[in-house]
Amino acid sequence: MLQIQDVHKRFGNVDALKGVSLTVRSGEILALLGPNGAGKTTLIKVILGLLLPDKGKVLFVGETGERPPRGHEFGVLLEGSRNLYMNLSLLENALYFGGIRGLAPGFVQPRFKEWLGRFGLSDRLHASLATLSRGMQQKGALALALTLEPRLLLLDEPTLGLDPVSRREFEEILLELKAGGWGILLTSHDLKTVERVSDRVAFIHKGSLVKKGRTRTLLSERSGEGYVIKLGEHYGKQVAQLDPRFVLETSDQVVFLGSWEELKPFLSELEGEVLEISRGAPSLETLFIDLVGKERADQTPTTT
Amino acid sequence: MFWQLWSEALLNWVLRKRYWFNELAGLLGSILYFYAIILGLKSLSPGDDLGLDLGPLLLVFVAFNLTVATFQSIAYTIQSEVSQGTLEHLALARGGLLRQLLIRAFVEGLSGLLWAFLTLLPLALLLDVELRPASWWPLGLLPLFLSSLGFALGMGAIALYFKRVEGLFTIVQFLFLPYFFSLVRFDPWKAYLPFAPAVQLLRLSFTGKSLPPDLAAIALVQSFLFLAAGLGAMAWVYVQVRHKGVLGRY
Repeated sequence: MLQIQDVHKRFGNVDALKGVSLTVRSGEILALLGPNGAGKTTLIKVILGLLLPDKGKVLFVGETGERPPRGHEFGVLLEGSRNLYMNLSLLENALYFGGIRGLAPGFVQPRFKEWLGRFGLSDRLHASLATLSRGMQQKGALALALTLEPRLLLLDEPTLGLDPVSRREFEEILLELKAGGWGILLTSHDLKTVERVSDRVAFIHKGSLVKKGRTRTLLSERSGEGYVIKLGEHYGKQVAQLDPRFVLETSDQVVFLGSWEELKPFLSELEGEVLEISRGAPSLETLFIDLVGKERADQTPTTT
Repeated sequence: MFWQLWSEALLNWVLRKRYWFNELAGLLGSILYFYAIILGLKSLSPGDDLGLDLGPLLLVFVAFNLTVATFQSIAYTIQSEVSQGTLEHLALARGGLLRQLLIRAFVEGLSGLLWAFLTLLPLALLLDVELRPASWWPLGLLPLFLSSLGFALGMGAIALYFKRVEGLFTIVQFLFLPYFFSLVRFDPWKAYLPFAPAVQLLRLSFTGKSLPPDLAAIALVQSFLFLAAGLGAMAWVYVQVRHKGVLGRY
């Protein structure tokens, strides 16, 4: 189990992390969500020891006690696929990065081949990374992170550049790993994937955790109080400005987070613009926008 | 540790094999560089006789080549890893970034040694210089190798902090060339100058002379000081960049 305890990090005048505490357990997927610049990557780098916190600590807690983690114990995908040497082949990359973590080629090669096979890249084992598409590079980087059989997987934007089929396959792999007892910390703007795979989510905004809990619980807390309102073309933004309880989903759709009694007074104002109203449980995306505030609405994560 | 060393050797081999043309051109460039220096000296001297023995000059040039190649390799490694975005992944190596860079410096140093010999041999043949390695020649080489490694780590620390350092390296290179050539005429008082005892020991070992214990001791002490200073500088900078959050970026 990984424990992050009261981590603070400041860059100049900017508080990148303000007392973040989290736990990542074996056999679960924790998703760290937040807008661009919220502090997600900073936290991951602190966990890995690539950044030294001003205050707080990160510990592996087990039956034998607690100790700071070491970088080579993590399987990592940092900021997309920037993990590998472009002028080496996939296999050369795997052998090199496996080797620097103390793993013998006899351990790395068969596992890497197996993972590449799962991602449909068996025939690209000897291809130079520079000749592969963005999505293939991402799959290669993921295959490498999984090959190293770490204690914990830290995946920063793992689905970036993946096509929908590959994304679904990747989700399956994550669920398999979780079932196998792996602990996974995931950051992503792909909230549909997060909804499908995560056990818990933690929302981070401006360096602080604004909400954390079990994904299903957070969503069900809001179920029954949401109304999806379909509007005339481009009215969404205008309506979202009426009240903080309106959350913009698309240019012609908002979600109202409140009861029917609370919504009713607005309906007369919106007369003529409302095409359809239906009850609906808010998605993780709605929760995200609601939690990180209206001022960040222009940075709404893209759900693809 | 073994697989980390193996990985660096693999990377070194793969990259040299992939960019063999550039490697070959670099080797030829080193040979031509020295040849051009000799031609220049000859054109400046009144007669055909340069008034100095080419053997020591050649050995000092090889020492210069080895030192420059080694010290640049680590700094350029850091620059290149930063631009590729892989430096942070090196830091996740078993034992951390410092150990991995030391291993890389060691492998680069060894490959620099091989390159130095590949430069030395054709030049010795071309210039009719007779090399008579003494039985203790590995000991003659060791202090220079360790000093270069230490200096490489020091320069690597500067690169880790400032990220782009080509300008500084041009200065160092142009300072080193006359400095190393000034060591061709060795005086006892020069034994305490940086690199000087190591260069002199290399010369003596490749010209069949006997081992001078005092000079060897000074050279070894100096080389370990270089190594300790290089490691210390790198360790200090590694902490600083992780505090500032600029380990893997400009």
